[in-house]
Amino acid sequence: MTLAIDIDQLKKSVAGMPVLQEFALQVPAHLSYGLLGPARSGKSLVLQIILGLVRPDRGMVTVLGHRVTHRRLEHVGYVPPRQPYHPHITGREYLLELGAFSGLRGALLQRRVDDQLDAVELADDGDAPIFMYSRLMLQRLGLAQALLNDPELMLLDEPFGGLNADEAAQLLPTLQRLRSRGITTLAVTRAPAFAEAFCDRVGILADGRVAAEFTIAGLHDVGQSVTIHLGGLPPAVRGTLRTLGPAVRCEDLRVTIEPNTAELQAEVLRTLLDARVPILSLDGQRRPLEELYRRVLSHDYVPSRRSDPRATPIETPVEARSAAARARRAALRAANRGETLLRDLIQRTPGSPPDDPATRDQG
Amino acid sequence: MQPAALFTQFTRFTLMEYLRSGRVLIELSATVAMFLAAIRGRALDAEGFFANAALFSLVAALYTGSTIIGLGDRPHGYLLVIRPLGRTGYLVGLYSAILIVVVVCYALLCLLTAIAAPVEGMGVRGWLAGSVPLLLNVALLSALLSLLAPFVLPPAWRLAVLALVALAFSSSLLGGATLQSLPTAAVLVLEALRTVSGAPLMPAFAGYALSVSRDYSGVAPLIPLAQLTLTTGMLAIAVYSFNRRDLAFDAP
Repeated sequence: MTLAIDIDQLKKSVAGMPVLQEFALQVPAHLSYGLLGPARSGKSLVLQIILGLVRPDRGMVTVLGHRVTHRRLEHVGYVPPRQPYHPHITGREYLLELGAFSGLRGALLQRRVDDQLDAVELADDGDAPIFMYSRLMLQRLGLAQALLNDPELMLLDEPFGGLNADEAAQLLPTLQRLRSRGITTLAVTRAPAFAEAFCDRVGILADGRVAAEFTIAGLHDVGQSVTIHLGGLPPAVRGTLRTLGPAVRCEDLRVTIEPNTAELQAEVLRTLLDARVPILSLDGQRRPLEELYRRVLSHDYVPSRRSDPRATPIETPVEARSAAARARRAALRAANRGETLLRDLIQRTPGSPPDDPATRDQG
Repeated sequence: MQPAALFTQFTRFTLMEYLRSGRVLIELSATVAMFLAAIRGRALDAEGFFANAALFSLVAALYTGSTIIGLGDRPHGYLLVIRPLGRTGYLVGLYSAILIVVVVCYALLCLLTAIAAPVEGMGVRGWLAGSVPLLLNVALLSALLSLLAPFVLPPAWRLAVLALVALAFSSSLLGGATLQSLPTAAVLVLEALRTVSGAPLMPAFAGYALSVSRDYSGVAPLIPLAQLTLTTGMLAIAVYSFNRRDLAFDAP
């Protein structure tokens, strides 16, 4: 696996205050990575260090296979937080100038500018002065300038900063097209919803380091908790369910599984189906990234690979990647079994016998 | 693309933005006002013209320099720094833009004077003799402003440089009775500091005097050289400091 960004043992203090401490981050090529953290946690500082704008006190930063010093980086696009840019020139002029600063000339420069204006949906507004641009248009212009030199890596600083929900929704497809172009992206943001919508993997920055890391696919694989609402719960069934483990809680007419795993969920459903307990509904309480983010920041989250397949402890990149892939495959297999059970459950008519588990598993 | 071409292009870019922002109207208006108020109808000789023009050019450099440095001190300017232009090209480009605006203003003042209020007895040679040290002082002040830019020197160093400049100019404030009223040790320390801090500014003072007198006898021809050396040195320190400075900024 090729790493687009490899940061290790990074330390940086600003005005005597430590901001980044033992910061480590690995972003594989062609991945969209979201670095999530509160204001002034050092997210932008990480980007500025990668760009060579800020020198680290200590640590190693490798970008696209090259050690970062104070030199400029080619093939790296940077979208700064919402900026007024240069208000008295037009968007097209701005891109032409920036393209020229990147060494582009003549017809190639013109074509590249036209292409990027099209790509960010600014083609109709390219000849308007920048001071007339809305916040959304400024963000689009920021993306266009970053794409000019055909980057392999894009660094996005608060790409939705200052945008309302409608504007963010309009910008998201433009950003998602970066993924389809195979461009590695590192986005820093305070918005878990954005990270969940745009990124493949998310790291949460707390206390100057990546305190937890999740794959978005893992988040979507299995819910953290599930509540099954029942028409009745005989004491015998309640006792059987309790033997499945402390994660299964029985309360009156509902059973809650927390932490939820596909295997445990399947066991509980089998028990209920075999006992012909009427199931009224099943609420998958998929905990959004936002809640995990809150818990990590309040030091209320301890990643455990065994109990939480979404958490991928920080390891060496190759191990982390393969471990995450294994966890994802296992979770998918288990989830598929769970889905089959649910399908059976839904198709089952009252009074009909439950299917044979053996044939069910083949479905 | 060659670094020189990149910084030339950046200078052009900065000037284009400066012109379109309309700020240049202030300099142009001030130039015309200066001509109307201090030159036209006063029948100035060459000394009088250069005395006025030198002061005007320095004030114009102070204003233009502060404004253009302000233009450069914006996070989106750093989008250029991370491109092949680099930090050196960025700072030298801003510096060149300051110089060009002030030189154009000075040229306009000279043109207005030549057309509407010719200075008696001053030919092209005399004009050049006064203009060279005058413009070198503009270059020197612009280099000092570049050095004092917030993104170049950290605050503590900027204060230290400003304090040294203030000390060098303090002879009128801390002279005579004021100085004598201080303890002897303090007087000695102040005079030593003033001598040390004033030394780097000597070419500037001498340049102003040379511009007004246009007397190139003796060692006077060395004055423009000293001005040029000091300007280059100051600019080199500014570039060195800028290349080592952290350019951190927050999201708005």
